[in-house]
Amino acid sequence: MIKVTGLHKKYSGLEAVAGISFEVDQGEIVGFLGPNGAGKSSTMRMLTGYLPPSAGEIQIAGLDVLNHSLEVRKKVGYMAENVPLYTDMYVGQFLRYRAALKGVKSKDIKQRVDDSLEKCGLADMRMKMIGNLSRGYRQRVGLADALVHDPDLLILDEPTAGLDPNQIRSVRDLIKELGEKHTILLSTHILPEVEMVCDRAIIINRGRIEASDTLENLSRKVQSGSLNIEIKASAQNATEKLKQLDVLSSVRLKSDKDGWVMLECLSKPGSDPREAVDNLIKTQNWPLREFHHNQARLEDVFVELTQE
Amino acid sequence: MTSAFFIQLRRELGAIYNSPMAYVIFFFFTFIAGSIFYNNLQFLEMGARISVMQMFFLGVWFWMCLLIMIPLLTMRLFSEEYKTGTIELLLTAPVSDWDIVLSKFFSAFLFYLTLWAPTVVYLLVFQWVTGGEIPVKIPNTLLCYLLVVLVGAFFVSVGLFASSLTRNQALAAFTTFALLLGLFFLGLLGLNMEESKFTAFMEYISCYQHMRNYLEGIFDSRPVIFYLSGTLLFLALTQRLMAVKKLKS
Repeated sequence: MIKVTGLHKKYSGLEAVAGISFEVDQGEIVGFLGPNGAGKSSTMRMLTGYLPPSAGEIQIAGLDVLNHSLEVRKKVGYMAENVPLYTDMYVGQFLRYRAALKGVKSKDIKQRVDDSLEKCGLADMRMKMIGNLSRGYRQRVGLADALVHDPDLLILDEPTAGLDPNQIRSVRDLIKELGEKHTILLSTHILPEVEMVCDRAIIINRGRIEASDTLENLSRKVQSGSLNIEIKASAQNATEKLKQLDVLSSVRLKSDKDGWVMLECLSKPGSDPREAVDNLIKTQNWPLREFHHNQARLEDVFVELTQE
Repeated sequence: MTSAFFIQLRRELGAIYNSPMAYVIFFFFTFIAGSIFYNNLQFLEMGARISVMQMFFLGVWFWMCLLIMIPLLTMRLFSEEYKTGTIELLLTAPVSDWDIVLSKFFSAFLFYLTLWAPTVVYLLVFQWVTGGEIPVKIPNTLLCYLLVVLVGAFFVSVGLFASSLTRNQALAAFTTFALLLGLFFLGLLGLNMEESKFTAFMEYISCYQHMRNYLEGIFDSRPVIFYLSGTLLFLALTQRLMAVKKLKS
């Protein structure tokens, strides 16, 4: 559905996107992850044809974005960052206008507008002025606008930014539901979102792709899980003994109270430290009252890949 | 003209008629035009030797009104879209740059024409007040209105261009005002000079001179060409500027 090769974008000497290539297949939901300023929005804007790339090629549904700009725009539903909207229009009026502009046949407009209002939970809002809506509702209007012409591909730039937890949940559910029919590329820096919604993540940092894989494979790559234990022992002795285990990369003292010490042990990538630590505790006869293992999460992968 | 153009034109007209500025402009224009007309009628009663039409279309107030009104009318066309980011909505929808430029131009131009519509009533009032004793010269009147239409198209295209230069509406309005005022006074410069190539040029670009000729019922095709080509030039510049802005943004 999307094929990007060697994409570059320079802003007055600064390279925002430094030669990235990736593909998104029909029907996939792909998360586009990266810290602020990584080049996510620039890339998405180039995909929609809003920004011309400095170099590289973008094909959407087999069409070149620059040469077939108008046809590509018909196939893409785009929700921009910060969701710009015409504040002087009513919700229903705005969507009817957008549907017509995007080439929906006049006999289908009512149906399409009703559908997207319904999907985005805006059915009661059609007579409201957009300028008077709260941030959450504006976000939904933006989403409804992206959907209104039933595009093959949805490109959503931070669709849950600025929403409250309930709204975030409903938008996520909506995206999941939409993923059954549409191909979706969404950007975010909220990691649980990707874990909940996406099939695959592309992690981008400083204009380069750091990783692109399914979520499982990504976490497997950097298995630096952690183990929290609380034992009755002297802090110094316990730390030293644990550090000698070669499955652990570091040991940190979290608290020391009434003889109970809480320690955080970070495992080395690709190893499971549980058995070794358990053995040590048994041989040392340390009384144990907490033993908690944290799997490496996308967050760890993200931090590892994008840290300075 | 594509269907996208008409859909966008409807949207642009809606934006104009939704804004308070449109009604302020409409009110003041009608008020000022009405006042000028009323004053002129009184002059006539006092036995002035020039026609009401001359007083109206060659008076300072008429031109001031145009020069101030057009910038106010055109300032938001692009500036507002750049400021609020809604330009991204437009440029990611399947609409060509030309559709956007033309729909914005025609929305402001059509509004400008509706401002003039009530002045047709003045002609009827004039007939009624004078009891038909002084016949209205139809050809002269039509020529004057033709020039009003042409000058309007040109001025609106200049305003549209200025609006696409900046996201600041006040700056866009001031730039338009400065450009139009410059053009107007440049045209007046030649009036009291000895005839030369310079004065010929001044006369060619002077809207005031054009109006004077048309008032006397002399049709000259040069102003028509001048205003139409000027309008096209500024529309093309606006379209080019949109493309350049995309590259730089």
